[in-house]
Amino acid sequence: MKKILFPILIITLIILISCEKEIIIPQQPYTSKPSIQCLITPGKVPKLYLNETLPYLSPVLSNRKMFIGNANVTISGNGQTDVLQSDSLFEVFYGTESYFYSGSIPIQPNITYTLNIEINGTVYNAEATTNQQVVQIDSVTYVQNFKDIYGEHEGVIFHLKDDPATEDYYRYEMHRMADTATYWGENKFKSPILKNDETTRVTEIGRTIFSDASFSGGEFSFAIEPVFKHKQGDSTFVFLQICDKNIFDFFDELDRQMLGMKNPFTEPVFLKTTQFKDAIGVFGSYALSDSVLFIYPE
Amino acid sequence: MFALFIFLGIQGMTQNVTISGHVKDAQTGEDLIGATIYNTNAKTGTTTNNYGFYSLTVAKYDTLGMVFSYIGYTPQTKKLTITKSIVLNIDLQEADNSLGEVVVNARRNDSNVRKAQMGVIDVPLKQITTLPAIGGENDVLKVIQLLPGVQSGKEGTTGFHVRGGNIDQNLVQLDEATIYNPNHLFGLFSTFNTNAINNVKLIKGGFPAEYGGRLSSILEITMKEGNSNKFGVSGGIGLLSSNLSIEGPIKKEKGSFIVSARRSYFDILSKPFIPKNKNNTNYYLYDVNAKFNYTLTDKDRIYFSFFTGLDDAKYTGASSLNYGINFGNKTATLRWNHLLSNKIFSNTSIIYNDYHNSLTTAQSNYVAQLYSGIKDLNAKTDWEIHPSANHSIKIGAYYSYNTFFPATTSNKISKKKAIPTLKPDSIPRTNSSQLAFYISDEIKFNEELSANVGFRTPVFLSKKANYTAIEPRATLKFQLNSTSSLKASYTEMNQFLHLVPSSTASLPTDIWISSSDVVKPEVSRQYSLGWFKNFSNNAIETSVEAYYKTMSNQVLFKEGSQPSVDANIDQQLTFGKGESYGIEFFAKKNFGRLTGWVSYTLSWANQTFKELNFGKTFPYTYDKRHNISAVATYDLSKKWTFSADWVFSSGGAYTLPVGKIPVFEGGSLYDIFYYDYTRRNNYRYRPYHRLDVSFIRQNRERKLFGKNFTSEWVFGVYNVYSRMNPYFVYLTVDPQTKKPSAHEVSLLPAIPSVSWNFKF
Repeated sequence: MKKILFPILIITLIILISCEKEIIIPQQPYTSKPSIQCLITPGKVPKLYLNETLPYLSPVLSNRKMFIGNANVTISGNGQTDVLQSDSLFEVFYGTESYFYSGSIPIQPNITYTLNIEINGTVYNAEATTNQQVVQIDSVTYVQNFKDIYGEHEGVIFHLKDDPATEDYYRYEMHRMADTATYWGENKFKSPILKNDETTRVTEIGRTIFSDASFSGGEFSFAIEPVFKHKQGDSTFVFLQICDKNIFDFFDELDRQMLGMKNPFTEPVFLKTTQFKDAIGVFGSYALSDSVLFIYPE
Repeated sequence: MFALFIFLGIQGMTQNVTISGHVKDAQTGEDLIGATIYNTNAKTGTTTNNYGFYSLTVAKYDTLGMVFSYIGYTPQTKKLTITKSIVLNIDLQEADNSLGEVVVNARRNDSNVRKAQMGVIDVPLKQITTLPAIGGENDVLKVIQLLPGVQSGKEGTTGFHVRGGNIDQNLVQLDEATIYNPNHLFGLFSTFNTNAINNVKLIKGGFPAEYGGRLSSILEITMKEGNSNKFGVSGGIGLLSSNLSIEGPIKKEKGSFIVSARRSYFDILSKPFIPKNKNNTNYYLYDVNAKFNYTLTDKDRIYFSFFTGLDDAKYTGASSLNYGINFGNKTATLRWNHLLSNKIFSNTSIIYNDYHNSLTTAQSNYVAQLYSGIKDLNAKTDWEIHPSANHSIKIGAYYSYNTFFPATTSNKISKKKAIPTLKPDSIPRTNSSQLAFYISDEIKFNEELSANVGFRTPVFLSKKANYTAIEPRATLKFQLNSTSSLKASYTEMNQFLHLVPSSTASLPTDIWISSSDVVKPEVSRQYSLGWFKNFSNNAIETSVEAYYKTMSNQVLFKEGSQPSVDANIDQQLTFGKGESYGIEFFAKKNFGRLTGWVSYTLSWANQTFKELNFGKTFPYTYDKRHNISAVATYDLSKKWTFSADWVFSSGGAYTLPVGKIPVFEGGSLYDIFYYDYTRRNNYRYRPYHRLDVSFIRQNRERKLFGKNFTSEWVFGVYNVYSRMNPYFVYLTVDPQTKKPSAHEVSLLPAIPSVSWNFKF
């Protein structure tokens, strides 16, 4: 009986088995444009990331090759003009060099700054105002498991008091020491540089930026997924970034697209938010709270 | 006032006589829908309605010449000497050469040229049983998809697209009950058991006023009534499923019944082969059709139809596709035909409908769940009034009470791999009502000019919003000569319920929702123009039809919207408009050993949404430029019939990024690269094409348990040259090298089949 059933089963099974293969899809014509990110905060010198977008199917270039190093970059405000120079920094944990433009004049509060970038005769400019009110962190707690749109993971919870009179956008920043036991993100990226018990300073910036738009002020909490894995007792210093709307609009759209990239049931997001004509990017301002020492309890 | 007009019109025709009655199959007593009744004196005629009833008023002649005909049956000619109106019921005998005769239009000879109707195609069941199908399963919807202007979705998806419309824009009705999902799983075969079906009619333009509620097409399926003369059993055993039908008289020539059932048995066959600890690939389906009818008096007849169908499947396989799905339709229809006079026929129906679709699908470490529930209770009445040979009036009213309960959610799969279940009872209900009134008249002005004009007024009522519309309907026909005509039509349609499609998921995560204060009714306006020409004494029918259709208030999900049980679905939607236009060429051969048709459609379909694609127009997902179908059936001998069909369509559209944007400043969990989309639906799948063939061998009549029975073997191959047609494309990015690669998934290779059908 099985001999008769088996070929029948195979034939019917064929129907329910899908076939998959890798295919070559043609790269459609694409004009590269600058990708610009510059976030200023009072007390720090400005830093600008300026890279070139790439055709989607092109090979990945090194950070250096994507970097637009021949631009003329200035930030003007308060009667001063800071000429930013190209610079780089070797990030020990990642083992990579990052390239950017750096200024020399610290940013002042309550000033409107103009960013001006000139690349081969084409000018890109935008404005940002450093008028964000500093909001201090009341406390920081830890939860082993919380759920957001990215799934279930551990979380660090920030508690603060939100001012109902202002439109605020919050993001977390964490400084800590990382060693070879620490890994980054879902892919368990371990430092190719650090050896044994060597440590280095790393900075985490929150993926999600929270808006108080639907909140009417008062006690406000939000949970974030830490980037790096930790051990019990690891010390960190956490800050609250109070961002302007330009930063919120840009990174919120990136976040929504990120979700669409990971979750196949989410509608894709086209990146439209930009302050620059014929370039994609953000020039925004944020205030930084005082740091709070947070020790991972588990 | 209108009733008075009708009454006077009817009373005034005293110099005429009316011949009315039913046309039936002489053997089984089944009503013949669309049979032609032709008066040779006045060279005028009519056709039977969905209940086999006709009424023809003609001037008095010394001798009236009447021809009654129906494709596949021997025509009857009557010479009548009558001085007053009569009832004339006709029983037609099936013709000997009906097997292997592939004909698309049920009306004989030149009704495609003569009738003031366009965009209508009748599909008699005889041809559906000869065309090859997957696994030997005859499929109404697979044949529909071979017609001009009709496209299937992606391989393995349910539904069909008509003239650039979405699948929810097709009203599919079985004995007047709406079927929300007319396919079994993956669209491999439809929920309609061909053994239980009498007639199939597709309308894709020039919609008569009695139809409404959908923008793009009406697919009307009428069940058989059952043999009112003797009992019969028929069935089939195939590789995927088996079916059985039992029919017979309740009381000879007064009432009859038919019950048909079908079930798959993949789940039973696979049990010995699937290890107990292996999860979880299984599938079964069943459907049951039942119909009872009884003639109470000469003027009254009642019908009760019932349908239930279910699919249940689980699949754990390639990383790109894992799912569990359970969906089904249940309908019940009670109808009463009443003849008010020999010129006025009425049908009144009460219909109950229950549909559910429960889907859980996992892809790329994320899971989506969907539940779509709809319950309808409908009542309608339709009147046909035939005051003269030059007028055929239809009026009617319709009421529907709808309950919707949709829910969707999507999450990353938890570490514990636990997937919560959506509980149907906990999903909030949304109720609404729909009303509609219509009136139309088919007018014959003279030998050359005739028209079908009318309007329909749909009304939508709910707690959140009310909508009313007036839908004009008009078709004009100008007879160029005895074998050709020109036709033009204009129709407006409104649609109050919507199936919102997901642009990304490979399985159907679409949900049904109702209109509301946010979701306005969809509206279409369609213009069409056609030239119809027959050759070789109507043995070859040809047509060229061009159409232009606009659709407003189209619904899609906003960018970034994620299914969420807590979210108000209305707030996740965005609205825009659609436009489609094209030209359809059709040629079919009705007689001879070789019969079949060829169709070619050249079409465009676009959409424009303010919040999508930067506000610019983009191609509709199912914008397929070229569609070709070639269908042939050849009688090799008295025993053997060969059938084949070949289909080709240009690839549909999908969206892929064109650039990547490095972002170094930002959240540390960002992957640095983001997609730069420049245009929605900017890529095209590879063209779709496949060839199907089948051979049917008629066996001689035999005896079993003292009863005569006939049987046939059906051997077929679906997708003969195993073209791996694209199902969907997805991208992966290597986490280390960041190099993207595209993967195409295909579904159905060559599938051989064999089945055995019998009939007592």
